[in-house]
Amino acid sequence: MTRYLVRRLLQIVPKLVGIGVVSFSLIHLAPGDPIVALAGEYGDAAYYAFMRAKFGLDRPLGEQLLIYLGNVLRGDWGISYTHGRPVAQVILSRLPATLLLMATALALSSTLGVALGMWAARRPHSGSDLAIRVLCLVGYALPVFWSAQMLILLLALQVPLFPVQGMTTARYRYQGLEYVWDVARHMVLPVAAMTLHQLALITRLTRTNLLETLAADFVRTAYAKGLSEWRVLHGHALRNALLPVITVIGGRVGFMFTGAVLTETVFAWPGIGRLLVSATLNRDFPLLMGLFTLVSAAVLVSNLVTDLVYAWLDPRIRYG
Amino acid sequence: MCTSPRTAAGRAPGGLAIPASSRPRVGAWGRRYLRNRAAVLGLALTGTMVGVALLAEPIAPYPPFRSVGLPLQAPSALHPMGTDDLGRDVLTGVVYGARTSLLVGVAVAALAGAMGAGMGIVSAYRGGWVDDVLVHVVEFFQVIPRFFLAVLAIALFGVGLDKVILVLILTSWTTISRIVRAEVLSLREREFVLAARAIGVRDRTIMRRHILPNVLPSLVVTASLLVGEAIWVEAGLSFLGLGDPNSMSWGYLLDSARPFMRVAWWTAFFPGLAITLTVLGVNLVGDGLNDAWNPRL
Repeated sequence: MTRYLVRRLLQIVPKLVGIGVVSFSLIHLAPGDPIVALAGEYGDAAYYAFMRAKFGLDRPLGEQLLIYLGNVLRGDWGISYTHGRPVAQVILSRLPATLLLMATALALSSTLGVALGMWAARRPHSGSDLAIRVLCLVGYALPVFWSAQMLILLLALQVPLFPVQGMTTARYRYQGLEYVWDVARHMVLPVAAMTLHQLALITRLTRTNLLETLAADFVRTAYAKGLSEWRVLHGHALRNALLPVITVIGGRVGFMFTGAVLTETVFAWPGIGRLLVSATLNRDFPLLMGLFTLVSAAVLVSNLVTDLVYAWLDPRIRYG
Repeated sequence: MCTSPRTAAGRAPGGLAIPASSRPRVGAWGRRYLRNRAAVLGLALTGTMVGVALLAEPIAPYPPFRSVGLPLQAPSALHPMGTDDLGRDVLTGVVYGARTSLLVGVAVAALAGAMGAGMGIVSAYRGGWVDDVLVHVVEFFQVIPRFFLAVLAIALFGVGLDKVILVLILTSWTTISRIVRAEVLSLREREFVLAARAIGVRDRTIMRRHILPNVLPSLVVTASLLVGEAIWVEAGLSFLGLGDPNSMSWGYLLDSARPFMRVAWWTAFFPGLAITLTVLGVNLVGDGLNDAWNPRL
């Protein structure tokens, strides 16, 4: 396992460098002086000179790339000129709010998705199976920004159960448990919107894989030796059926960030989604570059974690 | 799509017939497809949207972007989907939006499909260092978050549908390439390919005449799923205000509806419904094609 871990860790390095090369190329391919992309349009001469020296823009292109990569890989993404602070700091201050939404949605969609998928697979082609499949198809087609708007329309405006937007009630400064309750209330609708799409995918995958596994010989053997349906399902079939599901969940972190960006925009949630939108509208390139690098790195890390979990669950992988 | 009954069998210069592959005939899977009610519904939905997109001018009651009535009017006989905050007809916007969405979806699926198929076939058939390099390139592109790359590209290069399409192709062809490569790896060891090679058919001809027809089913299925994803991403970008300002799009309509949701639900409801139905239709067609070609479950 250690050798496998080391090998997988080493594979990450060229990809990280590759991500740096992509953003470097974009900066240089874009029309206009790359200093504008690195320091923004409204910097003064002194700041431009500082950034030119920092990124070595007067040196040959190869050397520039190395300096750029060095800065990016160390997490030094320059200064966001709309916020006047280092990019990494700005992003880190917003990241927890986004991760809160993502983690909750991921946990909900994974557990509910596996449960619904199992329910559907136990009695294929029954009424409940059909209902679950229709729900999956529609849920998967729903754009998250629209389902978010419709949720607001129904559950915040028509029937005022939940707040329309924001993360906390601005009028009161809640403390302790009251604060947690306040945030939880604000989270319900954005999390619901984000969960729906992911839930549809996971349910569908679980159902398909479980149906395939239940037709396998070892399941028949398990039944033949007199195990209960519960034992067969949980002890034998589920573990095998869930392997591909885990890969898909892990492979969708980039997608979940996208979902978070769009959902946060609808709910005015103070995460990196709104940061991305304002950075784009203000042409805050250092901030945009930082967000791109961060999400790419997050995708890389989650792929690694997925592979490790997979190898841990399925010993055939790491010796293969 | 290749629907002519041309089989993968070929005739070598010496007159030797090469055994045909086991590709099912078009009629058989066509019948299987039409027996699947969900697939037929998908075809109907997709067909309707394509029709609306192609015939936008005669169908839409008004020109797009033009103010034709009082602002924020509820749906009525005159404006079946109501009007937006600038007095524009929502139905007209939805009709013209179909054109933008489907253009992006089809362009991305077709070009990424062609690129991914080409790369996948060459990669697996040639093997060796070509395969190694291409596998690494594919792995790398799969890490890049497409939506964020699209946002970055639009911020640096300016808005435009061409940029959205280009970014989506660059980040989507890898999905196709992976699937095609896996299929070709097993195909290239099959008897009909070995036979063709044994009688001296050139590699390029083998790839075109014998391998490509056999990967077409999975290629078309995967590409059809890409259509939905591309439509989704384009709508998302327009929703953030990063779409092409010169083309009417569903995402743009949803974005402009946001401040008026409290008073005019119809401005947000219909464009979103159009996205959902289109993506649903395209996905159902993809599923239907898959089930018709691989009748296992």
